[in-house]
Amino acid sequence: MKPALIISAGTCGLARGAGEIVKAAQDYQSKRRLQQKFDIIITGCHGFCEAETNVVVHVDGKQIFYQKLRPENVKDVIEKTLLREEIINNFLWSDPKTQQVYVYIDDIPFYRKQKRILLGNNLHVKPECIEDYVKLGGYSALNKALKEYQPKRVINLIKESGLRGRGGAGFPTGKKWELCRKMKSSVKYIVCNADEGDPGAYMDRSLLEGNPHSVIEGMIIGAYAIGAREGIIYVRNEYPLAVKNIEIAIKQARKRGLLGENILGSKFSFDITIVRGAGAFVCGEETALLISIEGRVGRPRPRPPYPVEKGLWGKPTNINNVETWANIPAIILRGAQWFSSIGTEGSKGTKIFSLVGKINNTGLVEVPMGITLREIIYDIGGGIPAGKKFKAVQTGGPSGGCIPSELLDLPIDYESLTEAGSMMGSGGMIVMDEDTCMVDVARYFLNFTQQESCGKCPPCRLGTKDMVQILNRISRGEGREGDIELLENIGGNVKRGSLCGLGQTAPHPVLTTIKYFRDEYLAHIKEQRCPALVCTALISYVIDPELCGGCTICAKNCPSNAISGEPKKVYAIDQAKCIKCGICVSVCPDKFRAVKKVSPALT
Amino acid sequence: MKNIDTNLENYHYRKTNIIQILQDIQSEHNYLPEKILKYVSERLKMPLSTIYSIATFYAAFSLNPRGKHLCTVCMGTACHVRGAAAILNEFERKLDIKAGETTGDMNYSLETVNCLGCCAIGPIVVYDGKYMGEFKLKDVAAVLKEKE
Amino acid sequence: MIELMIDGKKVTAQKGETVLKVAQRYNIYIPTLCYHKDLSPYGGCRLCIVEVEGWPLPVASCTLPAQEGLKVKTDTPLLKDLRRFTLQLILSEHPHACLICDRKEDCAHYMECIQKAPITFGCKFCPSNNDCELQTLVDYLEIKDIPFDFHYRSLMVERYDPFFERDYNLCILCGRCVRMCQEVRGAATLDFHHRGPDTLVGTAFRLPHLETGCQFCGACVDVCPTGALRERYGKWQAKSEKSVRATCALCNIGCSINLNIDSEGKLVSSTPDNNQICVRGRFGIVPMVYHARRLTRPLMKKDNRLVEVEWEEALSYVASKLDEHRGKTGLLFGSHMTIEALESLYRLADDLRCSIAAPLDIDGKGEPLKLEEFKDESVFLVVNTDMIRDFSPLLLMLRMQSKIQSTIIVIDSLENKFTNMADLWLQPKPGKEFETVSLLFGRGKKRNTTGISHETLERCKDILKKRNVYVLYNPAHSRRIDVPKSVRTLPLYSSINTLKICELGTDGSVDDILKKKTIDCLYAIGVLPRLQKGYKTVIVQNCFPPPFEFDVFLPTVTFVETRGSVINIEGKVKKVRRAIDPVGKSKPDDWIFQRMSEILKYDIKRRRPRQRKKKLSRVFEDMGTSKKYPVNLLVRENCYMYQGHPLSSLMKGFQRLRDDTALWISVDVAKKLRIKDNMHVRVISRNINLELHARVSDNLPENSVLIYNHPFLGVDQNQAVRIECITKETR
Repeated sequence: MKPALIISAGTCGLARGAGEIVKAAQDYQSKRRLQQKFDIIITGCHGFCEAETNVVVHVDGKQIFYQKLRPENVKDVIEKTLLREEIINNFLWSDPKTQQVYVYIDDIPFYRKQKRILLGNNLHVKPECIEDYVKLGGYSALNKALKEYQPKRVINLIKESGLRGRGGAGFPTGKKWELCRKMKSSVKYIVCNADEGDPGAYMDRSLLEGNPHSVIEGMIIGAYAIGAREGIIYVRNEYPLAVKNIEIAIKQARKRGLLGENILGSKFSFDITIVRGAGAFVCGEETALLISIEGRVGRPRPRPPYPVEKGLWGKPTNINNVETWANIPAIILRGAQWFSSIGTEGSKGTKIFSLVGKINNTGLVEVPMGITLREIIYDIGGGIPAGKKFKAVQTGGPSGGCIPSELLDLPIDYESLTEAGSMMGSGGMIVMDEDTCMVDVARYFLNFTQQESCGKCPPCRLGTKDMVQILNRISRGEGREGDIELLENIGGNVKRGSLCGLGQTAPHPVLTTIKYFRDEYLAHIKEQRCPALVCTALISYVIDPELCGGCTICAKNCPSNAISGEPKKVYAIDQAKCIKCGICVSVCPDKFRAVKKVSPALT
Repeated sequence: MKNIDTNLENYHYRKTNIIQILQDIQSEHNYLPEKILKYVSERLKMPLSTIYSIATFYAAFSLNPRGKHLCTVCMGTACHVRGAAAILNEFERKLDIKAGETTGDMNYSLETVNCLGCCAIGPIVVYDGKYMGEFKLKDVAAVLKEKE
Repeated sequence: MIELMIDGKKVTAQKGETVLKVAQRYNIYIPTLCYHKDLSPYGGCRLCIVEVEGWPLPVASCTLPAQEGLKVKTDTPLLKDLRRFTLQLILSEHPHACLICDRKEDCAHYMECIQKAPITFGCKFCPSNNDCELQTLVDYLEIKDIPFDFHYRSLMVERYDPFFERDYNLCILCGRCVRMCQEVRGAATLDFHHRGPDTLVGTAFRLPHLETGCQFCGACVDVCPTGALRERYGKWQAKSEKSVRATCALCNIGCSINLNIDSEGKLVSSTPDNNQICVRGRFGIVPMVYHARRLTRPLMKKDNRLVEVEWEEALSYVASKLDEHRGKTGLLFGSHMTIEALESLYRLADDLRCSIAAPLDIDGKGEPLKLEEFKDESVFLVVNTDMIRDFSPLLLMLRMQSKIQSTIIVIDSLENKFTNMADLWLQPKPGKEFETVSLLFGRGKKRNTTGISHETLERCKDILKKRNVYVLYNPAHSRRIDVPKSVRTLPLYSSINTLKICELGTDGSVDDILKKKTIDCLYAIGVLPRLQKGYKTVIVQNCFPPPFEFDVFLPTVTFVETRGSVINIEGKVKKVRRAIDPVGKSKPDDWIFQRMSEILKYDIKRRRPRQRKKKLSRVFEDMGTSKKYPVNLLVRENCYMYQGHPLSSLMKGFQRLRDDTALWISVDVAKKLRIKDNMHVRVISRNINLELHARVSDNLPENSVLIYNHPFLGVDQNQAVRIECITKETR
């Protein structure tokens, strides 16, 4: 392979300025006429978002990892590393804790501890280039399935592999396919659920942006096994780049005869269309998703009948999530045994988590099932930044719960997370430190589900609203005796009484935070104190006279003129005027850091 | 209305494509004008109440015109734990509107989004299509000033 | 056959039957709220949840298909808890003082309360108090308190539409009205909007119903389990104590209705009887029966003044006059009365040698419309008739009867709700409707002057080719339609009993009689003709006063105050019932005829009535606009009439629904003549010269005006006219 500059340019890379890096590299290359010397490969997300904008310099078979580049650094990278194989130490990633510097991508702990079956290829394929995917063995699984296996054999393979749905609930994929295959109907559909609504999860986006063909190949194989002629990818409209890349990928696949009539010369025909969502979390629920595809308001309907019996347009429909579909080609190629050798007894293969929040190495991590939370957070994630203390990790998005430090050694799989009161969900993993208030987190999630509730059934529409009201008053310091019990009572009933998965899981964030952090609730209710100094009504801002340098910046920036004092002397905040916007903390120079928060609030 | 006809034609006048049709109208006009919805209702022979129901259910649609500049604050979980709420408050205070509203001079619209999937670099603000990661409270004033 | 267990009882179910339906069949009670037998299951209210052995969570029984071997429990402590929780939540959003008050039982009997609560929380002001499904459920679930904070939506009560009001503060979002409006009525006026805690029911953009596709059928009101949707008339009346199953005689469909009566024998409302009815039957009957302008005592002119008299005096006078004008009496009658009354009337007319006529276009054969004949995949070609407005229950029955793939094609130069809803709408130039039909069947002249493109006609012909075609038309504004034998033509007569009158025949048209010089005495029964000359005696028999002078007025009853039978468009004989006593001193028509014959010493039951003309073929002329008469006048029958009075002249709601006493003017004509709404204009043609108030409408084709005809206007067909603007007065 020619030397190459591999630029990570997913949405978050672009947000950090990957576009400018690409432009700088291209300009330099064309100005110096270096097209023959090296390639510029623009790929999807490499997963290590913390290091964005990062590039991988591929030279002499080695892959050097540079992080946080600026456009002006590109020239150096090309001249020194790409052309002369010199390492530039400044751009290398160093462990924030040990200060150890790493040169090659595979040595970096963030990558080393992962098992990147699905994400690994993001580094090697240009998303808009089907050839790249084919070069890496893409579509050979499809070829194998069509030429060598009967549909039933494909289903058995998936069943044997032990693959379970990656969308959250973990239904065995092979079993679902089999149910759908057995339905008597001349028309069947398969659907790829790419309505990744969980705030804090973005692995589906990354897969669709970075390696759309893996999802498409998985869908074609699935359609072959189930006997569907039409497939639909339902994707969030908030992911414009993903939409664009799948559109291109579908066109290319059609051109190559991988989609359309008589795929690869077989009798099997199949095609895929894209449907864009319109901003409704509940449409990630399968019945709502199907209703939304039909052009109606996505209010879930009770199951049974399940979509495999009566789905899109009343026909049997198999729905799987992006990550599930992306697993299929690998299972076909490498075999069920290989796949089931990874993971735990009940949960096989790998799972992608988005490791975000208060953590050093934020990014997408793909790990074998059964790994412990500690390994993910400390070994891969590099622990908590700024020397703060780990408090909890929230998994499963609004449907999941908060897991405290006592459970850090929990091996992760579907069952263990459910037992802990949380769930796998789509794989969001939000790390929280001592500065995170658990009442506030619970309130945040409940507020989210409340607004995203479709409004059809009273337990979800009104139960979550009541819970939000109670949490609101607790965070205002107006909590009442018995509020915790009331929350538990409402929560339990909403879980049991709601129509769809949204309501049935909505109370999890509250119930788990009460379970593991009851003290914090009590501090809010009984002492009007927010231990994490987050709940605005329960804190006050004060200027530490010991630290204040009298620089006047806070007073100048204060929108309510609450800060007074004389230059070069100590300033003070008038609590009566303070609106607690926090600007003073944000502008106080690092050399002073004089503005502090205290709780309970001063009167 | 000519554009609308082309739009409808692209979707073969199928009622089932209504969400996609509305998305195209929304991206062209930045909101869904009542007049156009009535026209679509007539052309597709689709009840206006159904279209209105869809337009108010899905968060991507707005029935009110939006301002010249669109400022979207991501309220995803990762952004939240990193202080997105304070940033939103600051925008609300500075612009004197609530999220989902537009300033009286039609210059700014302030919106929230559930998650943009850029969680690693939160909190995120998207200003007129430009993603800004690791947004700080003090950046609010700077961003608004720059655009004035 | 599927076998399953419900509460330990072995039950059997049909394939596709839901667990709820099976349970109901076996008399196992499961509380429901969003469920309604006429609507598709929704699964939203979560009250009908049941536990199934082996399933992790309770499921809604209304959507759960019965499956072999299912073990269902309908009443466990968990279910009771959850149901109570759910209903308490619902009530946290629904003013509930009336539901959990410890004095509610006393209140139900005496409606007395000095507490502040009723005013604040509305228990006294909920029109559904004691007639509310929530109250039943609260009792069943033994709810005594609501542990959640009460949330009032603070919405304005929507009072701006006729007939019913909407207080969405009381709405519990069960969606029954939405499903009724969409699935059953096909009107889709109501839908849910917004989501989550902001979810509400309403029209698009919260428009008044008058500006939407609302048919004001009231079906939404009738399925509402709370007081959110309420009929305005009689809102504060006592609860109905009994219902009388009767027939609505306001049009020729003759829908079955329930007449609901309170403990004092007063009619409270008229509601559908397991069927669909229209605005006339739902909201038109009660206010008409108790109308302030209704005359309920006989009147006679004495010394040029009208005075109230006793029946005997009035009848003796009328009998003497009829006797005196034997052979010189013109008897005009409407079809509103019972068949029995009609037959008495004919005998009376025979005896007195009256010339009789009804304002109907009768056609001897009088073909009934047999719904059961319609086959699947039929095409209904409807000419010049707004079936949604005039025949909506019939339209729903047609759809139901030929559910599979039936197509509705409308030929009409006017735009209306029906043309908008039709699968295909052909809009010919005014007056070219029949030419369009001929062209479709390859008949008549070859040249196409309809204004419809050749392609559209061909497309339409393709649809007609392979299927059973039925042509539906209203004989009041259509000539006999020229079609091949294989195509059935079905007249849509709008008035009840038309088939009976077709069978009995008449002595000519109303116009024939009015023009007859020999007639000295006019006897108008439930019809208001446009008088063209003076008479020695004018006798009026009606519920409401006529717009012309008369000598005697005989007050009759409406069809809810008498018994007898009527015959409808399908040829079915249906019963009208005496649900209430006649209002005031009014009497049924047949009683009047009976008494009269007694006074005349004539045995009314003696013999069969004599033979009369069974066919009245009106000559329809082409419009032919000219320089002198440049505008097309379109004439449509006003099917919203009772005893010669347009319902719009009796009830404001109907007037707001459609001002059918106006001259409707197309936008271009209005612009040219600078006519605005409510100005007074004169319509002049060779035959007519009328003064009317104007209404501008963009539903009319270019260069045209429209009149909804009734006998008093006397404009029976399309013609070329001239419009003159008289005043700029507003009404």
